[in-house]
Amino acid sequence: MKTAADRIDSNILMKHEGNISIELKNRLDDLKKLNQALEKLADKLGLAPKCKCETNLVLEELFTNIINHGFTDNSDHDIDISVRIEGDELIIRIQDDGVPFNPMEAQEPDLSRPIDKREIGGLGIYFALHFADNIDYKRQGNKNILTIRKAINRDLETSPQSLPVRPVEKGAPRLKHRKKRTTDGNK
Amino acid sequence: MEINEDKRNNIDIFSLKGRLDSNTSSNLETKIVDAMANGSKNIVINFEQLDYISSAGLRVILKATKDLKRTDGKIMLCAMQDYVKEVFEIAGFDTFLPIVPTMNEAMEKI
Repeated sequence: MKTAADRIDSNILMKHEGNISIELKNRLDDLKKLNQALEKLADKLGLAPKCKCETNLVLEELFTNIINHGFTDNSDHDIDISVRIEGDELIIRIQDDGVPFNPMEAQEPDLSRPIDKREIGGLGIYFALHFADNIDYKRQGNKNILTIRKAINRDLETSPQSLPVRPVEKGAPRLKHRKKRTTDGNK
Repeated sequence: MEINEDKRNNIDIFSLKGRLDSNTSSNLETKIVDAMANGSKNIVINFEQLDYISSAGLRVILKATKDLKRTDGKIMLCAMQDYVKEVFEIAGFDTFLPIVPTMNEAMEKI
């Protein structure tokens, strides 16, 4: 029986087990294509629901950030995402031709502010940095290239294969190269 | 995302199912704004069947909380799955948002 994940858009290419390429435009509606592709991949790999949600969150936040802040014109732009498996990790690459943006240099939100002063800005990137195991940024020509690594945690009960299962690592944040937030006493 | 609306003892209950993300969060925002425009001051959001949330979802919850505070209203969030709860915690939202384990507790405490 066909599942919803099988009725996938033709611009999501399943190359071979686990490797996919997703071609998106800079519009919010394309988030659905991204989610469908991830859903299909998660099913195929037997990803644990938590691992699936975390991976989805990292990609949603980075994708919407590119859409909302990456472009200064009103034209269509390509945002290309590829996912491949390397050992027990997902290696995800996001490429766009927006303004240079290194998420590791983004201002961290102040999580200790009281409710009246809390803003949502910056939280998306903070989530992406938190839930990814590693993010690498480079600017190549007019392209931003992000490479995200995320450990694969499989759902033991539904996993279709007997591949090694990596235990969930506790503790955060896991990125070692985070830029320290610059404190500004005047704010 | 499906949003089920219910009203009991003058409390508006929104039960969420599926995904509260950049594509769907405005639906919840509209429903909360409408409820408040109709005089609602007490809102319970039931997360029991919500599988996924992103910063766009948190933004709507934060806005609703601030808006209700301004009108002396109250909000309670309940029955979050582990992943959803963790996202609230990592954002530090659990320090100022009332999050309780069950719907009954939410209805009692509001």
